[in-house]
Amino acid sequence: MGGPAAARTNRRRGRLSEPVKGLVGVLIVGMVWQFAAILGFMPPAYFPTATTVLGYALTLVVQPVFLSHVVETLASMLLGLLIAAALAVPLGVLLGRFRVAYRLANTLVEAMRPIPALALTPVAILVFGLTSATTVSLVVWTASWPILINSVYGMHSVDRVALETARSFGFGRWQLIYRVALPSAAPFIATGIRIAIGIGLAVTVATEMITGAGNGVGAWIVVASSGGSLLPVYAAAVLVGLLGYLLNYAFERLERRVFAWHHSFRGEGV
Amino acid sequence: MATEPSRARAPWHSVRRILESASLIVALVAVWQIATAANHALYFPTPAQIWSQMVISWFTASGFTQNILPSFARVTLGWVLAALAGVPLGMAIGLSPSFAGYVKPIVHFGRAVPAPVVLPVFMIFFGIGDAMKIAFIAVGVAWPIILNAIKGVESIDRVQLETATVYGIRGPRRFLRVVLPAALPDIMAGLRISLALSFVLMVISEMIAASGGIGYQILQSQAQFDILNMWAGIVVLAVGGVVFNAALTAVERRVLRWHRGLQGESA
Repeated sequence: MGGPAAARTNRRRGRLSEPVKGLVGVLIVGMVWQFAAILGFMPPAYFPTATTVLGYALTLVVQPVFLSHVVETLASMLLGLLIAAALAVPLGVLLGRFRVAYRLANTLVEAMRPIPALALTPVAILVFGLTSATTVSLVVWTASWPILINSVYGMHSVDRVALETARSFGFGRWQLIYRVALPSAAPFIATGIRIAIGIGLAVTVATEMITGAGNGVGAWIVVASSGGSLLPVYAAAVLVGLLGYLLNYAFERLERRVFAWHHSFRGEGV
Repeated sequence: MATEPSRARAPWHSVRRILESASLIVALVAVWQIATAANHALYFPTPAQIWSQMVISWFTASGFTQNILPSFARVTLGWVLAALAGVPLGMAIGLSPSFAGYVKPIVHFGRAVPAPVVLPVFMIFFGIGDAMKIAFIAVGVAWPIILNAIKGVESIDRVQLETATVYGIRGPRRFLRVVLPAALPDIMAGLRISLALSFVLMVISEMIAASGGIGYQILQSQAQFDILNMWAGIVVLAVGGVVFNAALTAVERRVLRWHRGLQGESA
């Protein structure tokens, strides 16, 4: 609160102890959980202690069956993301660069984007059966929209002067896109992909839960929780959450590193 | 920016824009109609058939009150609860940088857990009724709302805050006039992401554990090979998503009218 000087010292102190603080916060939550579970408001099958969950999670990490489900989930999600990016980025560049295309497609995009992916689950099941192709196709649907929207947005925010300058230096239409517009829009596209990772993971697991018969963490959870104990569910939530957290963190670091030259990371403008 | 001139020559201009933007949709539906009518594909009925089925099974009194209303009520309630809890919480966290350090990793972790994973937990604690679905949606979509509220408060221009301090603007006035407006674009972006997510969570909770609702009906129809009814449900859900999104967009435009970067913000 108190003025710029306080804020500055706070930031300096904060940088040093940030991970430590985070760890303290996590420990406090874990301890509250532990004591609440020990006090026993709920049966332990429904509300196990934090240490029990942690112990179970550790046994899952070395369990080949569980790991193969995790790999399956990740593979479906990554394949879906790749296909989505391969479709949405070129389309976004097209819509962002050419006004006519944008005017024609804008309403269609706005109408299709809010269609919930899981609504299409039955169609995907009819077309692809109870296979991972069903999961992948729904991830493609989900992940395409944030990537598309951010690509268009990125193309729209390209510096006009830079474009005009390049044009006056004799750059052709495609050269303008490749050498000027695309690099400038890239961080926005990356943000779109990062948003897509989060929602993509949720849709992957959800589809696996619905199709059930297939593989993946979602299918594993349905089977594991049918026994009446929630311990496997908590343990899987902790592990998958950690995985999603690390994915997001790694991608963010990558963005910072790759786009360090871009104004959106150098704090100019935007 | 250019609202004045475009409003002046509104009639012809807006007609042309509507025609332009609708043309691709109309063309697509027409292609779909022609292609499916010619082929008699088992899984892909014509739009005209879907429409008439939709009127029969969804827009009758019973179809509407038993399936459409409950589903959209769950989405609305869950999302509103998440917003009511998440926005103040996120802003409180964002306002105190030292506190944020302790809480942020937990919130990031909570967001990273795909909500469907913990659906069994909600089923045990809340049963399979409406309370479970609303609680599930509310908890599942709260994370992006909290995170964006934190981000919004943290991204406030220092100069702006210091200027407010210099002019002696403090307390509730400072919050309402300086902090809230500056954080609003990010907050709206969070609300938009979580609206999309709450539809996902509504559908999965109805597909896994329900005896009514759009998600339940769609999956049931597919299992019984009632392809027409399945498609009708999908269209209802799609239209619902579009309507909810349009409503939020309208609110956003009003609330953020002053904000330049509005166009195309967020995903």
